[in-house]
Amino acid sequence: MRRRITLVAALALVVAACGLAEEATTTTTTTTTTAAGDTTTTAGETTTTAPPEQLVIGATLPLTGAFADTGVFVRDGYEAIVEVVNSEGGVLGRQIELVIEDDASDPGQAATLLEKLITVDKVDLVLGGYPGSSAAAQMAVAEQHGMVYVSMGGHMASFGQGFNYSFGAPPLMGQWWYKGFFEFLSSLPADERPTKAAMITVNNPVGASVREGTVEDLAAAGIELVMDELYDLPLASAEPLVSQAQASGADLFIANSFFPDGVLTIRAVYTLGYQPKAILEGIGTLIPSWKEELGAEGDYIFSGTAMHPDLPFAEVDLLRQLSEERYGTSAPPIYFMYGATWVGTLLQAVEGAGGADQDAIVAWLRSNEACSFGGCLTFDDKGLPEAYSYLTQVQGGVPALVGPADVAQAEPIYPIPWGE
Amino acid sequence: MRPRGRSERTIWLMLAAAGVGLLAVPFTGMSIYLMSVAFVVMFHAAAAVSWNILGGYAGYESFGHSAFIGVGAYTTALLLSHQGLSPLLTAPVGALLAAAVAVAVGYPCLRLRGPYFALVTLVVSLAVSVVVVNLPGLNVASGVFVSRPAASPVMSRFILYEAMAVILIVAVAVARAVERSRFGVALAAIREDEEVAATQGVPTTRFKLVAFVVSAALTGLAGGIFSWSRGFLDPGDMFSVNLSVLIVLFALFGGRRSWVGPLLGALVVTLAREFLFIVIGEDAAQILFGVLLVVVILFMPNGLIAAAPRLLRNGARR
Amino acid sequence: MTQLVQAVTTGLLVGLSYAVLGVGFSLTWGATGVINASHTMVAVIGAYLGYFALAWFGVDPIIALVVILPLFFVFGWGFFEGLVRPLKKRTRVVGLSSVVLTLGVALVLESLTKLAATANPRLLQTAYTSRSFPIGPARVGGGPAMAAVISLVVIAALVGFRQRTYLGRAMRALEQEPEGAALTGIDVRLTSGVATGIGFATAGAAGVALSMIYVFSPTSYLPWLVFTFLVVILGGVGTVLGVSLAGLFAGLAVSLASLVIPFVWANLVLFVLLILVLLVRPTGLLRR
Repeated sequence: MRRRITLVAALALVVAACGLAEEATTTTTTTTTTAAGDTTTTAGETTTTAPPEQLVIGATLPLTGAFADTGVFVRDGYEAIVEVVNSEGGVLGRQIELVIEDDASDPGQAATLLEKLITVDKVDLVLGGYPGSSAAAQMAVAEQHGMVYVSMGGHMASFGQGFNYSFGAPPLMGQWWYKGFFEFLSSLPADERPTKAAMITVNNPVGASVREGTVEDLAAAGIELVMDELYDLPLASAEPLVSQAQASGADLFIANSFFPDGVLTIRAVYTLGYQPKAILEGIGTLIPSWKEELGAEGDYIFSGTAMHPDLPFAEVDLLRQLSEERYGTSAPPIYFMYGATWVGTLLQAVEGAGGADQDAIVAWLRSNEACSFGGCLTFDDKGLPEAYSYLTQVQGGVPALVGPADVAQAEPIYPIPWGE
Repeated sequence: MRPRGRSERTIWLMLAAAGVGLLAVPFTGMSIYLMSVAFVVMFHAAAAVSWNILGGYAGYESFGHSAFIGVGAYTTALLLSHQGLSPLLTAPVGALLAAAVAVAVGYPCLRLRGPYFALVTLVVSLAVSVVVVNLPGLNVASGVFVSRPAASPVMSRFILYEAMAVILIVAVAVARAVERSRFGVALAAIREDEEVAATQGVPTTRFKLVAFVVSAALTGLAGGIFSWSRGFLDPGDMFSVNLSVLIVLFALFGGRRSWVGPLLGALVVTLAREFLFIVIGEDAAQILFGVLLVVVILFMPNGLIAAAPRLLRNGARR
Repeated sequence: MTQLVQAVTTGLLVGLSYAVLGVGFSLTWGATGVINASHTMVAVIGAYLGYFALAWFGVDPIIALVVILPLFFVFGWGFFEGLVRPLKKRTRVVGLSSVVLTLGVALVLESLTKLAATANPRLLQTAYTSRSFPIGPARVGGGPAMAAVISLVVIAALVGFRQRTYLGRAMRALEQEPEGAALTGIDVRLTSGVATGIGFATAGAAGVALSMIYVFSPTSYLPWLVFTFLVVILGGVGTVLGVSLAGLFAGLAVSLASLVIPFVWANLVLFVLLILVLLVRPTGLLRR
């Protein structure tokens, strides 16, 4: 008897929760406009109080959880650009509404929530998520529902899955990360280049992708890879790894690491007195913590990026201005820039395609140059632009843009002036 | 805890009817989103019910059950991405591999009790995680792509839902069968006082191991279907300690004497967390959840099931 | 040879940081039976307090310990009175319930810390964290060295406390004979309260120590917790020396293993060793 009561209670709870969940998650629905400007609403659904002709864009981002510190900047980038576009009349005369859900840094949740946005909230367009693992999961969802997905891309292998609707604009591909650095090396006289490289890589998809590209780049540059170690997070100490690198005699040290392990690695390099000609660190010296927390301790470290606040493009001025308004600094945070570029590219494609028809947008992206804040990109049939990467080097505690030569704002310092 | 006046057969029929009902729900036009939520709830429930065979019936609380989820999950994911085999076929293989891991680690682990057992299982799950992620040649560390069950999104969610519902039904059936058997009585004896049970002739070592293996296999089965819903497996995903602890919480919250407790616990806790997360956001939801844990432990130490009659009685009095 | 000495040195330093995390946890568990899953979250908060002491007031975290230690001691005692005593009144076997209870506390603390300090990773930078000096053929960073000093002081203080003071001996008695201790006239409530207070205080010190080596954020408590469990089980619940030795042992094991096997397997070595030790001596290395 008791057991039955509790079961019934449980059932009631489920029904109640389902009902509440539906209510809590149903957002404004789009209304359609007839040619004469009258608005009609789909039968049975609630009328919105928002102005007509709205274009609803849905996305999920890690606003909490492991990647929250980056996720909020992407969200800011989306919001800032949408605000600007709306203030200038919107896209094709339509105001844009952004619906951004928090996926708590969980790829499974990211996929589920994106599907919800598409099927329950019936958004017109979707935007990409973060990080790569969530984007990889979402690319499949977007493909299944025939929605264009402009994002950082999942990992490189995602672009080999035969998706038609995914575009990386720009993609953040680990394999391309150091291209700027190797371009720089090839510009040096042969006797100044490093001859041996020691590489440590964090043991996860991001690390693996950076390592994959680097192995090829090293071979192409004729640099011998004398140490190639993987390590798991959390890293307890980097001395054993760095000590091994030092013992190998490598004059190029490559650490494909995240911030916490990256810091341990740099400190180990200094502690052990390892003095390679150059240090290359992987997962972005442009992340705020690098500058705010590490500062000058990270000087001379090279890295790569797909965008940079100092890029001398006219469009970046807008981002600098928005950054000044939002953050009080004219150096826009990198993920703010990425967010702006992803949404900028999508909106440009919508404009070009004359509307929110997903296939028309795909067709437009395949046959046109998408020129947003990062320069102009042309996409291949996988949705990838041509491989590129800018070179950065931390100088005076700040990651400066040092390559390629036509955009560089500072000179690369090579080799590292140890002992000065 | 046999309800008065009902035969075993009637109970089994009622449960079978509930099972059929569960399988039939999607046909009422459930939205994709609700099917996803239900899928996760059923996964948690299946894992918790399976955990309870060892944790509740025998009193050996494992804090490393995510090891079995992970083994099952990666078995099906790898067989899918490398050989194109459907998890509907390969989930049982995942269950078998999880069982094998349990056999390998069970004998040594079960020599410990209470908190020591909890901690050694936690460490074992970490060890299993390192091994699976670094298996040579399989590239697990670079991530595994898991293709969708079907071309149509609705069909995908439907297949996932039904598969997990079947697994939940199997888990409940097995758990109940154990409860009602002499094996179950023996496990209860072990939980109450293992030394006494041994002197009474219960083969404690063997029975504990069987409970461990059965629990692991069912959990592995659930994990095998769970990975199918993820799209992309990042190495740490399926082996998280959080998941291990969450499973324990479900059982603790709902009650551990029978299969109903963990199922109820999984249901309530998962839905509550989902709901709180949507309504008040992650940080506030976590605070609330933490407070809830404290309150439950202090005021309902034997779980919701045991406390419910008292709560209902008190409620009725007012 | 240099690599070997370096590996040993690094291993010992890392091991000391495991040890300082573990001793307070072990002490509390032994004296009160509570397995405090919020121990490392308290440590993280200690790390934040030290960090902001430097960032806002220019006070080195080690100096800040003067405030942190007594503050955390009081919190610990309050924690005992407010949560542990009610728990003990309601549950027969405190073990599993205390894990869940303290987990709840940890979750609340984590979220509060996130709200107060954001989830951004933090790195402590003092005058000595970017310097290094030689010890024989090996080299040691300033941060790890300072952390080691803090750890050694904490451990020595605890050992002294337990051997020399009445309360310390009372704690040991409680551990060994929870039922009988009360009969010998020990004020169980006072002893347990002090034990918990000391546990929290050492957690705060451990947090400051760890912040000298590692980047930290609110979620750091989880990996720290796993290592705490590990060394306490290895060293023996309730011991201070045992846990300290276990910490050193763990640090050395991983460090030396990484000399001969690929790095990704180094942690596995530790786990396997732990399992083996548990099989042979279920109560830990030093526990009697």
